[in-house]
Parts: sequence; C-alpha cells; structure tokens
Amino acid sequence: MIVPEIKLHKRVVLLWRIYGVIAALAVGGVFFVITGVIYGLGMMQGFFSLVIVAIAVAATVVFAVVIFPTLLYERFRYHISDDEIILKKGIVIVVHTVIPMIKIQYTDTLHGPLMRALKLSAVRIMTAGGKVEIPGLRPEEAEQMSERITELVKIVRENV
Amino acid sequence: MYSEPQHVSRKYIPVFLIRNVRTWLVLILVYSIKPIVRGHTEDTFFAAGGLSLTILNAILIAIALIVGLVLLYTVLSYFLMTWQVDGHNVIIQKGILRRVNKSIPISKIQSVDVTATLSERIFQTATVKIDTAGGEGEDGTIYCLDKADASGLRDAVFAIKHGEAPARELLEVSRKSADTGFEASPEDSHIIYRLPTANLWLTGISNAKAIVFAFIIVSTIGRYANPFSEIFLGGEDITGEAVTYLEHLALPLLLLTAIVFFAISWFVSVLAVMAANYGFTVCSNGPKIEIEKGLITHKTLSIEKQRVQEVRIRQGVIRRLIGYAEITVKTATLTKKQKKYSSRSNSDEPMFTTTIHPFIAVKEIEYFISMLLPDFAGTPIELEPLPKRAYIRSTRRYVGWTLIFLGAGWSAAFGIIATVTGGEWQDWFLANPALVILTSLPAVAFFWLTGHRSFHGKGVAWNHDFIVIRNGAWAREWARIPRRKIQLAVVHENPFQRMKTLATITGTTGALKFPSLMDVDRKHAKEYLTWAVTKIRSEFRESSGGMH
Repeated sequence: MIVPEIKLHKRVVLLWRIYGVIAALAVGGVFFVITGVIYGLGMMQGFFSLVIVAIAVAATVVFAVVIFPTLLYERFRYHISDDEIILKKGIVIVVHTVIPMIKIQYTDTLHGPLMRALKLSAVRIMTAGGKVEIPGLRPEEAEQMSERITELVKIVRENV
Repeated sequence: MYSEPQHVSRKYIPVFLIRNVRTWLVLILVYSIKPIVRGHTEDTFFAAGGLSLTILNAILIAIALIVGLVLLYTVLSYFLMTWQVDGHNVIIQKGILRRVNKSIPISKIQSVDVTATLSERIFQTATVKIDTAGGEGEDGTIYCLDKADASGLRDAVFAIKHGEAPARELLEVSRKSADTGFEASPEDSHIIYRLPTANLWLTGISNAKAIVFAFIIVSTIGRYANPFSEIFLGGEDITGEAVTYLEHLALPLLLLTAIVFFAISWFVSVLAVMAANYGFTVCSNGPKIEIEKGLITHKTLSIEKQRVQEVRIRQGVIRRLIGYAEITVKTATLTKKQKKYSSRSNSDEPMFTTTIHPFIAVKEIEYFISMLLPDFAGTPIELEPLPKRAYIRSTRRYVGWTLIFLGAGWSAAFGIIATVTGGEWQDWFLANPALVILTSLPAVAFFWLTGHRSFHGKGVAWNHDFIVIRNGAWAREWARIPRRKIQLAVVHENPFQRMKTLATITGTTGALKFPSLMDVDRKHAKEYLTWAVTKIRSEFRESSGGMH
C-alpha cells in the first residue's frame, strides 16, 4: 500500500489558528452569557463567573489555537494516484481513508473569505457514501487537483 | 384509464377521521388517568352528588373540539385531493394550506407499493406509494383508494412503463403453495419463498425484540401503576405506612404481577411479530425483489436488486440455539432533501433496511441468496479470527466499562441512602459489604464472558469480490459487502490499539457506514485498504503494454 506523503501548505496552520481564535471568542461569549444569567440570579459571585469565562477561553486558546493546528498539520498527509486518493490524518485517533477513483462523483473547490485572504483553497471530493476534504492548498493548486481528479475519474470510468 | 382527475375513495373521510383522532384520544385518555384517579382519591370525583365537572367536562370538551376540527380538516383535504394518470405522468394534487401539485414521470417510477392498514382493510381501501429513484417521500403517496383503483393504478403505471403485463399478475400466477417454502420455476425466472405456518410460530417465539418489547410494556405499566396503588393502599402517602405494608406483604405479590404481565405482553408481542410476518412471500421478479407480508397491515414491498448495498445475516440468541437466522438487505436511497442539496449529502442519511427472510435455516442461506440475489452469492465462508493480542483488549473493555457503571451506580445509591438515613455512606457499606460484592460479581463475570465471546465472535475475510465482517457476543451478525459498492474504505487506530499494532476497519457504501470490525491486525487492515480499490488503471496499463 502506498503511504501518503504530501503535506498541506504551511499557511493552513495560520488559517486553523484564526479559526481557533474565532472558536475561543464564541466559547467566551457562550460562557459569558451563561455565567451572566447565573450571576444575575444571584447564585454566583461576579468575580467567580469571570474566572470561569477566562478558564474556558484559555483552554480553547491552548488547544484550538496553540496545539491542534500544528499537530493537525504535521499529521495530515495525502496522495493521489491513478486509482485512488489516500488520506491520513488525526491527532489521537489516526484515520486512513481510501477513496476509489471510480466512486468519485464530483469535486468542489472551496474558497471562503478567510481562505481567500490567506490565498488558500480546499478541494472537496464527493462520493455517494460521503465527502472528504483536502484543505490548505494554494488556489491554483486546488484548481489543478480538481481538474486532475476529474480527468482521472473520466479515464477510470472509460476503462471499466 | 384514469386520465381525468379522480377523487380518492369517500371512505377516506372515516378512515382518516379515525386515524387522526385516534392519537389525540389516546393522548387525552393517558393524561386524564392521573387527574381522574387523583380526583377519586381526593373525593372530588363524586363530589356534590355527581361527577367532578371540572375534570370530566374538560375531557369531553377537548374530545368534541378535536373531533370537530379533525372532521373539518379531513373533509377539506378529501375534496382538495385528486390523482390522475395523464399520458406519461402520474399527477397528484393535494394539500389545504401547502398545496402540492406533483407530477411523477412514469419512466422514473421504481416501484408502486400497495399497503393497507387495519382501518383501511376494514373499509376495503388501500394506500398506494409511488417510489422514484430520487425518493419522493410522502408526496408520492395516495391514501385510501378503492382496492380496485389501487391495483388499477398500479397496473396502469406498469403497463405504460413496460408495455407488458404488470408485475402483480406474474406474482399471482407463480404463487403456489409449498410445504418446504421454496419454489423454483426456471421458466419464468420466478423464485418464490413462502414462510410455512410452523416456521411462523418459531419466528415469533425466537424474536428477541418481542422480549424487549415485553420489558418496555411492563415498565410502562409500572409507571402508570403508581396512582392505582395509591387507591389500593388507601390513598395515603405511599412513603409512609405503605412502605412497611409493601415490605411485608405486597412485594412478592408485585413480583408475581410483574411476571404475569411480562408473560402476557411477551405472548402478545409474539403474536404481533407473527401477524407482521403472516403470509410472508418473497419473489424474484426480473430486476426486482417483491415481498408480501402482514395479516393486519398488509404490505407489498419491492426492492431494486441493483440498489442493494449490503446483505446482513443475523442470528439472535435464541435463533443461534436452534440454527436459524434472519436475512436483511440495505438499499441505497437518496432522500428528497439530499437530492436537492446534493453537495450537502452526508453519510448519516438513513438507509432502507428490508427483511428478505425472517426465519431461515442456516444451511439454506447460501441457496436462498444464490436464488434471490445471485450477485451476493460466493462470499468467503472461512473467516479469519482476530489476533490473540486483541483478546485482552476485548475482555478488558467490557469489564472496564462494567466497573465504571457499577462504581457510578453504587456511588449514587450510597449517596441517596446517606441522604435519606442521614448517616455516613461508609457506615452503610461496611454494614453490607456482602450485598455489594454479591450483586457486583455476577455482573463482572457476565461482562467478562461477553468480552470473551465478543472476541471469538469477530472475524473477517475477503475474496476478489466481497468482504464479510462478523460481529457479536451472544448474537451473531454477518455483513456481506461487495467490493464494488464500497465508496470509502477507512481504517482507524486509537492510541491503545497503536500500542498493540491493532486497528479498526470500516467504510461506507451507498449511503451508510457498514459495521466496523475492531482490533484487526494492523498489517491486515492496511491490506484491506489496498484491496478495497479496484485497480482498473494499473490492470488496464498492464494489459495495454505500459501505456500511460
């Protein structure tokens, strides 16, 4: 079996860190509202509720901004051969996914606003049994990959 | 025929009145039991020389209101609902507020199912469900047609679709009684299996779901028994003198009642399973499998053979003892929503599971499948067991979870006892260590044995076309997945598995994950990933002399 070796573009770490910051803000907001309600009901001291919000935000920052993006980047590998697409990813649970080329229905290239700002793109591969995404590609790289996959699928289909 | 818009049967009104009101009436009755009983015990029920007006009037007004509203709704929806077969389309118009004007091209129709619920059977009507490749959901359903119209519509659709005799007639022609159940007539490629009556009984008795269902009924009765027990025990505070009363006298009585109720509900569930499988007939009709079954709700199902993604053979605990099994198939279906937003489709969408044989002798399985689904015959028989180092993980996992649950359970129990009696939980534990140990040990032993059996129950094998995955500790389940239906092949390893170089293999077919197999040798799992991909390109390259 081919061991996938291609890594993503390094800038994707920055993208994931920004996602992490957004997640931390969201977690902070949710905890602020919850502890605010509890404080308003007089069931908790104001200082204590702020401490809880701070802990939640700090934990999210440590994991989603500092640790996970680097690890995810280090562990994500992909490989596209004539017959299959192989992905290997995961921090705690390592997941190997193999998509037979013949089962691919179509591919999408994704460009979110944040992705565009960082000059990044992603390719989403659709099968009848689910979708798989390869993030952190340069836009032209993503377009090329999408075209290449479409071409490979066509060749495989013709030779069934 | 049927080229003008047709109304459904007039009997639609009584059938749907009954159907729509039934749920509401049951809800009202269930929720009025408590206030009535409470009212009785508080002596307000017969107060002022008559019935308690507040409770009874409220119930009666609620019933009248609901019946009135539902009647209005039903009559309106009857007059606003029409259907017709217009050239090459079936056109259905219905809906009061949300008007649906559905035009189904006959060429796209996969199957036309005719079903009749109990109320429909009483009124001699039937419901027609038109299924297209995309799965039209509820909108393709016409309720309450006269029986003649239902089969007429079905015949008309198939006549236009194939320009030949409709499937229904073929089914009638080839249906002959057979004691063995099997019947093969190679001339018209029709294979029929009928469930013999003796096996119908065994199907019901060996159904594990019937036992689970009985448990649910008993526990539900237990829940509603509380207000009644208040009456029997004098309507007083149940935690006071009643507890001592229960302890001395009523506990064995309660146990006996529970057992009797359990036996009755089990028997009723068995009868229900038997009624559901009554007259079970399966028939291979060209590209389709047709199944008829049911005594109270008669069902006609048809499955496109091509859409079958997976065959599962399942042996419950009882069926393992007597050497019988149940065969189900999973078919891929796209829901309407999935079709509309196909880029958002995900693997969690439900799949249809259809039983193609409720009760089959193990030795007949291969024959049955080769007759009905030849594409699924020829799977590997000898399965490879898990590596020995997976054994300790299997038993440890079951015993570990048991200990966690026991710990949590006993902690909660100690906490409650300590709060109620006001003492320290340690004192109570030290006074009753034997009780704790004697109740915990059998649980640990049972789950250790489950882990042990679960290890031996697992197995996997693949040949050129199929993978077979077997799971189960007390029951057994074989999943047969054809390689060409695998959409994603997945292997994952958690840190504990990595320490022992083990991995879990899984994957998805048409729309759903197939059963995963834990703790396979990692090397074997990697081979599975290579196997799952049909190497068309490389095979093609080899045959055409190194062409790129």
